[in-house]
Amino acid sequence: MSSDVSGFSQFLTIIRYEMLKYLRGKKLYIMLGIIAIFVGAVLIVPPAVGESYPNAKELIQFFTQFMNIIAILIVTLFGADAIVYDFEKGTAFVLYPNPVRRRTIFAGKFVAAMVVSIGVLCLYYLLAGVIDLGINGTVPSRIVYSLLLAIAYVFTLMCITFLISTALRSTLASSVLVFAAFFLVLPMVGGILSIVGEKAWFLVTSMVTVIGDILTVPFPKSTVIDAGTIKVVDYHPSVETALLVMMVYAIPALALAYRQFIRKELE
Amino acid sequence: MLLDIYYIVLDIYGIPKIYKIVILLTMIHMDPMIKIDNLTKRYSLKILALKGISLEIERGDCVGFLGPNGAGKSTTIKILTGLIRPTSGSAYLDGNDVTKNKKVALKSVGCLVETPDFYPFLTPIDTLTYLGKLRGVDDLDNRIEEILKIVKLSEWADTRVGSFSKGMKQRLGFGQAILHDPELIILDEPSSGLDPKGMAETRDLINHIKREKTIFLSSHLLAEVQQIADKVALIDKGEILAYDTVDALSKKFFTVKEVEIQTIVPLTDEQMAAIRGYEEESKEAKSIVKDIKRIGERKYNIAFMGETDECRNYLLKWLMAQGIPLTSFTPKGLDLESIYMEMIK
Repeated sequence: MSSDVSGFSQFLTIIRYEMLKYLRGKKLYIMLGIIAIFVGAVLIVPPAVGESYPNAKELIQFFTQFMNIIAILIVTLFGADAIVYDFEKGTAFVLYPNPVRRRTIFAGKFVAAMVVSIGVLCLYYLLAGVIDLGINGTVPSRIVYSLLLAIAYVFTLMCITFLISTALRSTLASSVLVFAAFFLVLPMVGGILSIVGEKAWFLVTSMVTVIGDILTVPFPKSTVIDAGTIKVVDYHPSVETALLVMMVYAIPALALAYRQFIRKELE
Repeated sequence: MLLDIYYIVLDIYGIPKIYKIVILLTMIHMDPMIKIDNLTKRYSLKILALKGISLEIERGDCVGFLGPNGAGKSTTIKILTGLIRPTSGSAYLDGNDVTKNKKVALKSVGCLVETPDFYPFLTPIDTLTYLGKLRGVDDLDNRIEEILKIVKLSEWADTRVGSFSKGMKQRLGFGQAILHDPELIILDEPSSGLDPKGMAETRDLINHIKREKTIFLSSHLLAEVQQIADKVALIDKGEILAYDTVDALSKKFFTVKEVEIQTIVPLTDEQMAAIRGYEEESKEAKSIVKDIKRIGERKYNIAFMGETDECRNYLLKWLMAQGIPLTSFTPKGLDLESIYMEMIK
């Protein structure tokens, strides 16, 4: 009645059905709606306030200004409940007592979340490129590097998000914690460090600037702005620093998430 | 019949008789379908859910796993299905240790654990296709069609599960458990939360498959287990109290049976005293009335020692001979509920 199935084949099946979950659920469409709002804002605001559109490089840079919030929304919507949902809602009682290794399930869920995230990022950059081409007749070639850095940034946040998703017991708590950590807590710490004259080189959210900075030649350098009694640091990590910091967060977070998932019990 | 096929097959290959016997003995000594060996599960310092339980379930058995809430039933089932790890001990499914090689151990196992939920955005066809692909089910489309007929969900095959009632989800849960035609089916509280109609449907589904499969069914519903299972394992406070057929448990744990009688008119004190003094000894067995209690205006419970039908027959004849105006004579205390209540006291 049944034949042996390879782990790889099971991995592909899990990706396929996780993708189906995103395609049939509301989250993907919420994300696409948010992107439409951002793109609409870029198109509508300059003429509405009587300004002309910026040049090709500046227009793409303007799009990358939204990258932090887009990345945070992506991981909140596609990663925060990826693991915890099964344990909270009881779908794990159907999926997990199957002849499938936990590592296959974990890998399938992670890859599916990344595939849909990369899809959304590519769509955003595609729209930005098309709009730039339509308005300025050209697109900066470094847009590709910007996209690759955006993918690396989302990958890092996704690894941390999966760690949170494996650690908590509620989808709501996981989503709130992910959003609050990346949108409020870490940027707040970065902001405080900035106004006391310190570089927030160890904060993953401080690395997001590299996505827009890569479009600028020469690459912007960190500066200290003297604002009277305080000195504010305008921190611009280099691509190497950003990638290294992202890796330092991503690899241990993913390894811990995996270990926690393997050991997670369905009580 | 199977033995005939066995000999025919071996004759084709010209295998000598002595080897046939050796091969046959090897086949007979196959691993039990479920072997639980000294299984312990500690959730915290205070909560010891399983206290080193051991249990063996043979192929083809339909075993009810009975115990009150919190007895350790779900913990045992969750260990067997790889959802949690034991603190110590082993659990083998068809000879494979589920704690060490879950993928192999669960290959031919179908599970319905607690009240499962399904991805709301998938239809029953999607759900069964997903699980069927993970399990490598051959001829999946036809098998899904067959399963949906068995669990009476063909009409809703293309409806998203999100709109299903609890009973429909339970039926789908049952369907996915038998999708790959597993040798062993593990069911944890299959009637949990269902209305009487749903419970009857679930019972019918289990009876539909029990002749061909090994079934391990946990429940706290005595009637359910009594109607389905051939054998019963009683668990309480993390320990197996008994494991046998209902009849064997009845014989083992009950020497005093109860007989409920009803009369046309209330019994007099003299008649009650006479009944209390009943004692009969035949070649087959000895029977004694230990006590008689009034439980209604014309209803009485007779506490009675005597295990065989003959003993009860003698008592009935004797009551008639004494002129007791009986309208009913009902032996009690032979059901699973009585054993269960006695064991978990």
